[in-house]
Amino acid sequence: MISPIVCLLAFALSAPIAAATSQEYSFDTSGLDKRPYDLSASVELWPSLLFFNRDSDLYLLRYGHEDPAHTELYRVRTETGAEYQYRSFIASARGSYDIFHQRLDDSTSFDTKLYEGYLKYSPRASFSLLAGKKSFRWGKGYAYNPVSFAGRPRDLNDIDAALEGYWNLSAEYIRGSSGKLSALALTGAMLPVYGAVNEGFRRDTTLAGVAQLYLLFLDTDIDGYLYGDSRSDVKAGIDFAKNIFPSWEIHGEWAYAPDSRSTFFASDSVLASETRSANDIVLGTRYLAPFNTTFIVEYLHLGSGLTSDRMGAYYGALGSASASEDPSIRRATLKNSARYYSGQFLMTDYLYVKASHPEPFTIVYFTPAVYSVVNLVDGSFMGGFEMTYSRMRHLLLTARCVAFGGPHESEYGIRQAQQRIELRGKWSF
Amino acid sequence: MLRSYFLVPLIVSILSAGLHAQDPAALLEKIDRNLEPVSYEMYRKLINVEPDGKKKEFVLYMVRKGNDKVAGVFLSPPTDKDRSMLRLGDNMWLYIPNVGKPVRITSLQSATGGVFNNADIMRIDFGAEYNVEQLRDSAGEYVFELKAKTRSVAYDRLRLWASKKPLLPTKIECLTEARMLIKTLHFKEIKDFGGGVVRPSVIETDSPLYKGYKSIMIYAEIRSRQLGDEIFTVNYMSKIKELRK
Repeated sequence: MISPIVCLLAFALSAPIAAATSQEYSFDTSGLDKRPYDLSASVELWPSLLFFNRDSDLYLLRYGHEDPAHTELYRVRTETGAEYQYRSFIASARGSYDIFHQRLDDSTSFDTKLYEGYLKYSPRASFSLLAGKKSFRWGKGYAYNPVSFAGRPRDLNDIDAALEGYWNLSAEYIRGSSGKLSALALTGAMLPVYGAVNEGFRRDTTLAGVAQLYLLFLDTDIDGYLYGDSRSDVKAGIDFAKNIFPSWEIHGEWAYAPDSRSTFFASDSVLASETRSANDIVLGTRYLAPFNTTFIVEYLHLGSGLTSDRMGAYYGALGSASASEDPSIRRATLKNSARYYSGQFLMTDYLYVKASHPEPFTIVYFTPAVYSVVNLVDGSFMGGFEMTYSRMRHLLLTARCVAFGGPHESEYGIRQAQQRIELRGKWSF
Repeated sequence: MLRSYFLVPLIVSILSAGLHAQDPAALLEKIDRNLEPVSYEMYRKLINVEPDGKKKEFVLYMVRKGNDKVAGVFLSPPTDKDRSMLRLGDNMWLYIPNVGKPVRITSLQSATGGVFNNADIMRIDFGAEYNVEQLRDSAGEYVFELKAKTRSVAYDRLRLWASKKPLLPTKIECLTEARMLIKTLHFKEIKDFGGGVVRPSVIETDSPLYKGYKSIMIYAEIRSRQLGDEIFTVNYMSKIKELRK
């Protein structure tokens, strides 16, 4: 297999050819005539190197006596988008095709996703109706959005990644003004869950409705959210964001679910479910220092998260299963672990911090950043260092190194990966 | 000799009186209106030039209404396409399609990199952000010493040179409170855009903080256009490109 470094270098070396093309200081707008259609595409090469945590029970459960120290993963992602506008109607579709190869077992898998596909009717700027698959990205937090009632969880190690939407029928009304209430917007959507339609949005067949009210009041973004469905589940939430000074922003989210349901290991091989009320909170701030470094700090409280006792039962189940010779117990435990314990935040209290500094030493288009998530309950952590370089017209380069650490029986300490290094080169058309 | 002893200060006094008989704020407002209509749409190209001559270009479609509403969407390069920016008074947001929601940004950050920052791209009237501390005549040009009205303005001070006929800026120095130079903007190539808009079509910017680098802004197709307030909201940021005709 060609080294991933060689692949990405070949990719990157082709880019300076585009960057070096000489152009005059002119601006020919003839090519900017609006067309009724718009097409976009990108190809991304994504090799990564994964170092295993060979002391982890999860690793022992998965790899048993094979005992690999590391593996290489190769991903090629193709994203395409198309849009067509005819008078007040817009048809839009966007999706991806992934090829994923793991060197450890020489396996290759494929995945196709339709991120969005919808028809929108917008007779005027202030109103639109939409039917189809569209994502709702709600919330002000950078690491976690408890108010994202109609959205999918994000990847903390790739916060900018596009996310798949849900099939829905929605309407939006927008109003702006020049007073203390500078803007108002109301969005409502119906999301059916039936068979393959919106599979995974809710456990059972249901018809869900969500609503968002946005206000810009006294220079403060304020949102209110509601969720309800035909099974009588309800949720409510609010968020806000405001600049205290131009370089200092504060934000927060709160979501309340009276019937938050969780499934967990009650003992070695027995799962249990519990329904209880839960408050999820995010409080954060972003500060741009005079030396041009941006700091983000967020405190996350997940009332819906698992307690130390519940996590202790999970570690016990992993330990028992990894020591078992019964393959069905090992498989079942792995399956339940993937289904109920693979979320970004499993427990209750976290601290997220990130520092980024664009263009250090006047290296234009280069931005390094460091970030970390600390589990305040068990002391485990995830830490990352990333660099992005966007000098080329068509190519975005990203390098990232993520490490997980903590006690053997802790959220990040139990993970099967100890460290991951990845390089990404995305060529956009 | 004695006559010139009295004549020179008399002439200077008359000239100064003439200068200050024109309200400096009114002159600044006239400069603002000569640069851009109150409500308009336009295309803008930003070019970052590196010391070795290599360039990266950005093309934006921008709309503006009044003194506190500006919005724009990137049309190129492909890596930035469909990103949009919104300014409402002192508030600024950036929308990245893959993130899917607007995030608050500051005027001193840069969505494009290089010498330009967000304040340069999302500029509103000088008169909306600055008071005229001093107006003087220098080599046939007006020289305005401007002081920011609030601490939320990107540059604490501006020194603005303007030609008298036409009344348009020729150079602006952006300064800190201590009058340290941050960047210099050179206004060039006056062009008739139609609809009564005759203004510099090129702004070249250089900065002692980015030695050897320069950034150029080229204006095209400035047209008056009546726009609704709803366009200048965070909910509309993903749709700004739909305004293009």
